[in-house]
Amino acid sequence: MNAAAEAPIAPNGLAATFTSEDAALAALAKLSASDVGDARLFSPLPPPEPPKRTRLPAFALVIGLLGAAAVFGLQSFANIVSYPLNIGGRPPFSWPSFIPIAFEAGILSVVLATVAGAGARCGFLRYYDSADEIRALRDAMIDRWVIVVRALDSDALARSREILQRCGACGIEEAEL
Amino acid sequence: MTLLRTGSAIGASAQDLKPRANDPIVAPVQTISSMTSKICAPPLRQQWPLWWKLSLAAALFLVLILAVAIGWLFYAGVGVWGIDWPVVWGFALINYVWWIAIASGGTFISALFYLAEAEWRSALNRIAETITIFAAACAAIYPILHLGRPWLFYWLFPYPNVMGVWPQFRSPLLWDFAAILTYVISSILFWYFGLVPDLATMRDKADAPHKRRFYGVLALGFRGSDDAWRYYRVGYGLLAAVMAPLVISVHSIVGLDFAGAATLGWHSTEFPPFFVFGALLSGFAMVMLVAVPMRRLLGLEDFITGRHFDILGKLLLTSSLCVAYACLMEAFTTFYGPDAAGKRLFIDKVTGELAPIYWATIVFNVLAPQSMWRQSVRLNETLVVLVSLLVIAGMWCERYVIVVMSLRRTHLPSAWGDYTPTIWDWLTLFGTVGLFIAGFLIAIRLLPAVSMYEMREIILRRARRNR
Repeated sequence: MNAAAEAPIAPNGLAATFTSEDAALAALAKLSASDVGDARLFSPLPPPEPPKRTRLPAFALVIGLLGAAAVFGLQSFANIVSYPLNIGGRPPFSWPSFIPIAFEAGILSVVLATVAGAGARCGFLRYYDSADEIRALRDAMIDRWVIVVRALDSDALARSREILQRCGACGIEEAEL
Repeated sequence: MTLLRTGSAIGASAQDLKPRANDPIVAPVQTISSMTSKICAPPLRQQWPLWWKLSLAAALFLVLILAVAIGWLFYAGVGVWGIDWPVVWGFALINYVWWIAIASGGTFISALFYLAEAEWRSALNRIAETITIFAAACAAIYPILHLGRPWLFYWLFPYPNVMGVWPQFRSPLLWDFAAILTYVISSILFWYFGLVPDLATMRDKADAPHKRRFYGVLALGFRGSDDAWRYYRVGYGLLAAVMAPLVISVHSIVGLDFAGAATLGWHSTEFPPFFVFGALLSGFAMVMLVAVPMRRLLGLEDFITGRHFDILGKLLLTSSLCVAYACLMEAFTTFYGPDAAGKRLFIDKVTGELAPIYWATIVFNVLAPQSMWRQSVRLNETLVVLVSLLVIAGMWCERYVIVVMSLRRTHLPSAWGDYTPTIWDWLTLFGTVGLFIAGFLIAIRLLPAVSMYEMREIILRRARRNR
């Protein structure tokens, strides 16, 4: 066994707990400005930041339109080509009557695309993350705001600790991230 | 009776807990921590009180009855019901429309009022969505049972098959199948998506390892990171934006099931909006009916306040006025038009042997909700329950009027007939009531009854305003 494998692993991250959202947001802004590494906020409610642009609505719209178009096409194919039925003398391509099912299919496609797309970006089904080892994170979905910093180096780690303490963190925990 | 009361409500008198006109949306004593503890407490309890066990036992007994009724139906066929020519749509369709209308109230409250940024919905949307899930499940049973050969229900799906046939896409009945399928799937996903952050809270609140595992699996690994919240917000907004038109389309299509038929009393362009109005009325009534006991039994007085009763009462009144308008228009268009058979049918409705059912509809759906003009009635829990029950009963009567009265008096007097529901009709109805109650009771046993992350936003906003 070599010496490097026996050496204790040095923590490269910090987790700071805040009791107020304002203090946590202020600390996050200072950390971002100081370029100490990757800082993430975990909170019990959505942060009040202005919504950033995301492709999720466009993705859902495209899938919804495709779903509606596919089902409209299926109905047209069935009525015109595969199984023409004379219902009350209406033409085979009686498109207004194809709209309700196409609309429902479009809505269902949007719902499925939204849940899948948002779920993937929210980390649904990612049951383990190295941040889960942090004790403070258990309070993040209850009533605490937790900032987790993955520092670039030991100097950045020290600076992060100082910023977090200055911003009023009520607890700071070292973490291996 | 043992209640699940915690925190500030312990020791409070019944008088203190009554809804009041000047109640805020959340009681000022509640903080983010206290609210979270209070909402998490009931599902995390080891033992639930006797009222819950007895209610669940009664509901499960009704579910057993439903199973027997369905088993007998499968064995003997739809002849065990009271349907026959000309009344070929009996309880199955009445109950289907009744349940699906009840389901709609939840979607309106959770989706439409989310888009309207109405703060008050946060305390009620979980209850309302849970009502939607189980009411829609009850509704979905009936059309399948009514098929006659329910084991061939999959023939409704358009799929390539060796017979070379496709469903009749131009029939509103097939539109309805597509609408209900979409509605049930979308409602479940919308409900579950809204639950995920609260399940994560439950996971982190639970002490027992098996509960942590249970809620941990359900929470799908949600941790509340800023990135996750951002996409979650966008996703929830998108779902709300499509659920609102979906619920309107579902009820319009249910209306078209009727309007698309050349049957007296049904063949009217008024039906889609009429059904949407009725759905709103029965949906709001069910939310009120459930909110009153839930508030007391789960100790939610700090979150479901007088303000909520006031708003729900006004919504009930508004939707009742819409239904009243539809009833008036039905009478007006009948006598404005040239169809003698239609006029004869309408006179039969209001003066014939089934007239008491028609007038019960008017009294329960139109007159009883007028009491909601008075704020004292909107804030009186007993009267709210009474009016809500009357409305729900009235909406059932309305569906009876629509389905049975129109079918029994066709254009051709020689084809007139009558309809008498059998014991199996009634047992199936009661059975689905039991299914709804059992589902709801199990849901409140396992899941937080109020959306906690949305309540936190309200509490935080209030704290900022008061600063």
